[in-house]
Amino acid sequence: MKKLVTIVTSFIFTVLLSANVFAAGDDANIQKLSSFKKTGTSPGEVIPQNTKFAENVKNNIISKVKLPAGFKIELFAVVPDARHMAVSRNKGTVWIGTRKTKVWQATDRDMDNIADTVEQFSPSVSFDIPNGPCYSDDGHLYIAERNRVLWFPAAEYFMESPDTVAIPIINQGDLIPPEEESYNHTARVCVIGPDNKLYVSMGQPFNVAGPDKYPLYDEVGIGGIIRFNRFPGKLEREVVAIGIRNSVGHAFHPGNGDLWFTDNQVDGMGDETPPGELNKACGLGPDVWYGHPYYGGGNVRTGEYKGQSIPSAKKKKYCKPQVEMIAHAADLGMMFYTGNMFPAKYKNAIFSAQHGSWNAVKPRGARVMVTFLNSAGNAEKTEVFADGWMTDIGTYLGRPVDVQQYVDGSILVSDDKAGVVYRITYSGT
Amino acid sequence: MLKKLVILTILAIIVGLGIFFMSGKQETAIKESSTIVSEPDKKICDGKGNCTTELEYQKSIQADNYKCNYYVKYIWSESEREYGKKQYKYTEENLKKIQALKNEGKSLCESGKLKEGEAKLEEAIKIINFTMLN
Repeated sequence: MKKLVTIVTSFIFTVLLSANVFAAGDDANIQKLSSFKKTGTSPGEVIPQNTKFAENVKNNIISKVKLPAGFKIELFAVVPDARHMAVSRNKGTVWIGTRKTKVWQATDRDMDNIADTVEQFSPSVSFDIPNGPCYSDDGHLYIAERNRVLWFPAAEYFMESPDTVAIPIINQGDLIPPEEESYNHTARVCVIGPDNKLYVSMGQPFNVAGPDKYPLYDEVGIGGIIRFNRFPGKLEREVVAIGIRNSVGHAFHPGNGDLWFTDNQVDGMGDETPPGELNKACGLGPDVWYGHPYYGGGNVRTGEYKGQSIPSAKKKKYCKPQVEMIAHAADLGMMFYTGNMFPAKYKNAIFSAQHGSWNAVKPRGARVMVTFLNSAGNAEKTEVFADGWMTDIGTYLGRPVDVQQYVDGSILVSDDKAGVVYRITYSGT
Repeated sequence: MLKKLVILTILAIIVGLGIFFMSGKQETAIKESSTIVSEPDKKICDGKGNCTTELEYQKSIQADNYKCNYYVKYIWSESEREYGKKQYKYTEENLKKIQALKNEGKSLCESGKLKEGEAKLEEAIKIINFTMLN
């Protein structure tokens, strides 16, 4: 009996110890990486590019995509679970986040504007939903995870090694209170603002957040956007937007610095309601409010809050959407076009991806949209730029997630269904 | 005197218009162009082999019992369907409440009491919506 107790106790102790070691593994590695030390991690996974799969994508998916005259779409890279992207300054490397545990780096090494290698980025880091990479003009990569933000200085130079210098800007568990963590609505995105700060969008973990979640969510920036300093030292974290349901795409206007963002709206209200949103920030501050949970999208009130009057502090600072997209199209990543490859009318226009949704009888989304702005900087017209990722029988060939400008002025579109990144070019012929 | 007043009024209008346009505020959201239905005979399929036409679809979402049908299906997909259930941090008690409200609402809808039925179904949806996602 004594032996049995000893064996069981030892087993439990070993399990607990190994669990602890696993949990601490990332911390130990991060500590080493932060100090420019090696961890001894083996090189990460490499995704073969010239495969039958790639040929099938070209033949069965890319051939079906429709674009305006003069534009062409081709395969840039095979990237499993491809979500949001960040394009490097010098090397043409594209970092691609996932909703799983890996970040990929796709690099054009022979300068034909097609990725030759797709490798796992920084395998010595245990990423947790590393959906949102963003890259600064001065050469720093940031990755927003479910509950941490990591800084990879000089990522273009360290990227060839499994040990990439990695320094937490927001430590594990400090982005949001851990008890508010979820898997759904946790695809964080980040961008560097004109004020040189890092902006992170944070979805709230409900279809409609209950009243018991406020004011906590507004204080932390859950269901909002936060900004903070992007180098170690004083974080100076601030909430700059509240009342957002689940934004998974944002960008600053290159001319006037306005912040724009997409927002996925409430499910379960109907097939054609409420609309999805493309918003322009009416200001940056802790009380600029975008409607959730009182509005379900556009001017449609949520069933849960329909009978209640909106608190005056919120009502005064309510910022309406600029564009009402079709309901449940899941508008995700977005960018402003600043390149010279596309015709002049696309300069400073917004490209945004519609992922498509399960929550409607009539299948929808799976498109890239373009929004043109007027001289006052407001949305003037939104139209389809690329579609064809959905078949006539309502199945998805692909699901666009993000749109980013590549170094040559073409645009890249990620697709987490097909697991690829496409490149769209314009030649005018 | 009148001349001065006219000049002042014109100036005020010009300044006002200038402020309006410079402020960059847009009070009404634009809608994306693809919301316009132009092909009533266009086939719509749900990816599971069920097809209808755009016209039939538009009729179905405007039918009196649309909300009842939609809500019942939504409650099923979020709280009974295995995958749907896994998306939320439900308690057994909440699931029971949702089920009871759904059954009650569905019966009312089927007996023609659509508004009462919708109200019960909305109560069930409220529990779903206020349950944290996994």
